[in-house]
Amino acid sequence: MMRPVLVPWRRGWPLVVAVAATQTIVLASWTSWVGSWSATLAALGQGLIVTGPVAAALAAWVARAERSGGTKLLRLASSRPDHVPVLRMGYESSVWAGLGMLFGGAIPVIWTARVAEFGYPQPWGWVPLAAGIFGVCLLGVSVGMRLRPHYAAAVAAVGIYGATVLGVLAGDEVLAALTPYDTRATFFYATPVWVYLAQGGWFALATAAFAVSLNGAGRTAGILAVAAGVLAAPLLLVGYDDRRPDPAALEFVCATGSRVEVCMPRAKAHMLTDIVETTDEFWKLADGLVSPGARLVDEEARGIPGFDAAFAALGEAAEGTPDAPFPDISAVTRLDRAEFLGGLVSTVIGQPPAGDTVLTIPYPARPSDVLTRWFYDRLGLPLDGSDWPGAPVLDERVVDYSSAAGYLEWLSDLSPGDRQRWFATYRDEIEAGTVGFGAFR
Amino acid sequence: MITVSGISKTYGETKALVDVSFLLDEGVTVLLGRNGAGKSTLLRILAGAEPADAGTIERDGTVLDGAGTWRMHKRRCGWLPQSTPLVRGLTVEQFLVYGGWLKEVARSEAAERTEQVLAAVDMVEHRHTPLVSLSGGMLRRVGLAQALFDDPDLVLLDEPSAGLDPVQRATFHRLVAEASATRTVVLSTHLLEDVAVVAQRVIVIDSGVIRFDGPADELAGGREGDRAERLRAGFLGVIGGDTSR
Ligand SMILES: Nc1ncnc2c1ncn2[C@@H]1O[C@H](COP(=O)(O)OP(=O)(O)O)[C@@H](O)[C@H]1O
Ligand SMILES: [Mg+2]
Repeated sequence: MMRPVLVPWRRGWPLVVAVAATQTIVLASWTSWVGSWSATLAALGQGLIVTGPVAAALAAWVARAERSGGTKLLRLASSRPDHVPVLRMGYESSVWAGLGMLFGGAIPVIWTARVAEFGYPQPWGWVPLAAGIFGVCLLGVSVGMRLRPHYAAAVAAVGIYGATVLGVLAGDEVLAALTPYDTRATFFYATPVWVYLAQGGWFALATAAFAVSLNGAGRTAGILAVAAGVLAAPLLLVGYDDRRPDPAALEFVCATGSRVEVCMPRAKAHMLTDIVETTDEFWKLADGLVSPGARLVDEEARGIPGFDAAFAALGEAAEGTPDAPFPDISAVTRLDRAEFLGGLVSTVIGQPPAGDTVLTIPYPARPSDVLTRWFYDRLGLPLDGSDWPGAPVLDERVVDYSSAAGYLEWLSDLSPGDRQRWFATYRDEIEAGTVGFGAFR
Repeated sequence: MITVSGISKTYGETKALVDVSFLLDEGVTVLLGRNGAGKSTLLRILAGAEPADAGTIERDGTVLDGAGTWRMHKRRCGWLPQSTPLVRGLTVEQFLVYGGWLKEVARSEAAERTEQVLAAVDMVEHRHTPLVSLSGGMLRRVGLAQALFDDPDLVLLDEPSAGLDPVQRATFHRLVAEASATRTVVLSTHLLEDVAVVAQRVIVIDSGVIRFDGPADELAGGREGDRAERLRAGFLGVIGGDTSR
């Protein structure tokens, strides 16, 4: 059996290498997908924003050989309609680019497979990715057969990127509905298989219609375009509001550390160990400010249908175990230890009432600043606000500690036992932000 | 049997073909003309790579007038363009299979056809060589193999012997002679030597107009001397050329 190969390895390898490399760089620079199958899939799809133009440019480059007079004439003299070799070449280029996608995607997939506690690879979710790669390669080939090589590669890349930007401008809903940049498959929602199939189908058909029409087969192009429209139409009717939560993802899973119990939805359970460890570390330091044996419940999913049932199933905490506030870690799949610790600190140290509004900068340190700084120093968090987005800035540029140096020193010199007693005594004032420097003795 | 009637083709100001008509039957017909005479244009139109501005082509009684009839014609027509299609990145074998696929050769037959044409042009041992690393002569042979791939009954060869050394040219003439035994072969050339060796019939074309159409012997005429010399004189006579050129 002899298959015709228009894009053999000799021609196609740059596609594999470039797409795999781009994919790896893009995903490595953005690791919030780790551990969640849905987020991994979404990340691969959004990686197309960069890998798409790269693949299109290389496909255009690969197709440059088809511009040589002889080859072009050979195609024209063939009995197959003109668009058939173009489609075939687009398809073959996309096989190489797809292989690059697989290589580039293998690291995230394997990583997630190792740490994820919930979910599965969602193979159907790869359908729009494959169609996306096919589409951009086909467009690249079509351009590459027409324009001079360097020019064609640039036009293909800029064109694909521009189309993506237009899609973004058209709105999140449209982008999510029609493209693999679908962000609806988050922790708690599963995307129906038909959505993936329709997303892939319409995009492949639409790009094929375009490529075919460039080769003058108007009727075939028309049929493909209509078919693409038929597949796309129902997608536009499925918005964010229609997505269906996955009850299994909402179920709570709990883990107990030396001082706390943490409960999280199953979809995020791969972070439990890290969170328990980090919370224990903080709890030890904040002894007195927080009650021993508290339970922290991640309520990110509150408001999603099914949450109430899951929450009820969690049951009341054991007697004498208060629920403690849980810092917001929504839309995160891998725990940022610093940000989480910062969040924990802010749950126990309240901000001073609005009456104490700061008017000058730097302003003299207030008791809450001294306490927060003490925690940050002990936890190894930087004071310059650089560690995570939204981190408070507490260094000398903003806060003048000269008048409060003594209090900071006093706090540091306390023995763990004394500190625990002191925290316990002023716990309510500290939490409310009303504690005064008079208490620091 | 191919009937070409009233074919014309104009590129901007250039009249490449003017009201060209002739019949083709089995055997070798040489299309003879100077550079720019319109030979390649005529072969491109016959191969279906380019439409004519006017005129019709009839094949075995069927006028080629739509996608369906052209498709049937193209499947049974082999063509070696003037510049050998050098597909970068393909090996000899891959190129032949690609060409066969373009002609809708059944996949099950592709392997057998590949063996046959590779053997016919003596390129069996080069099957896995990339096209880009072939010499000009080998490339022409691969082009011929491609033109013969589906055992077509019409074979169009555009300057097949251009750029070949005398030994390669002799080989090529032998291959063409073999191929023409059961087929209609049209071979364009500006070399009188080709006419002398392979032609049964000659069509002389100049400035897009047919100046002579008949047996090679008739072009050579009853003149004295070497056959190639006599052809040359005949050729220059019909195109009204200057004998001293
Ligand atoms: N694609 C084209 N565009 C413009 N002029 C062309 C084209 N192809 C051929 N011609 C012109 O038509 C004439 C015939 O060319 P051609 O058929 O290639 O001649 P030959 O093969 O006999 O050398 C020439 O004057 C040539 O310049
Ligand atoms: Mg020519």
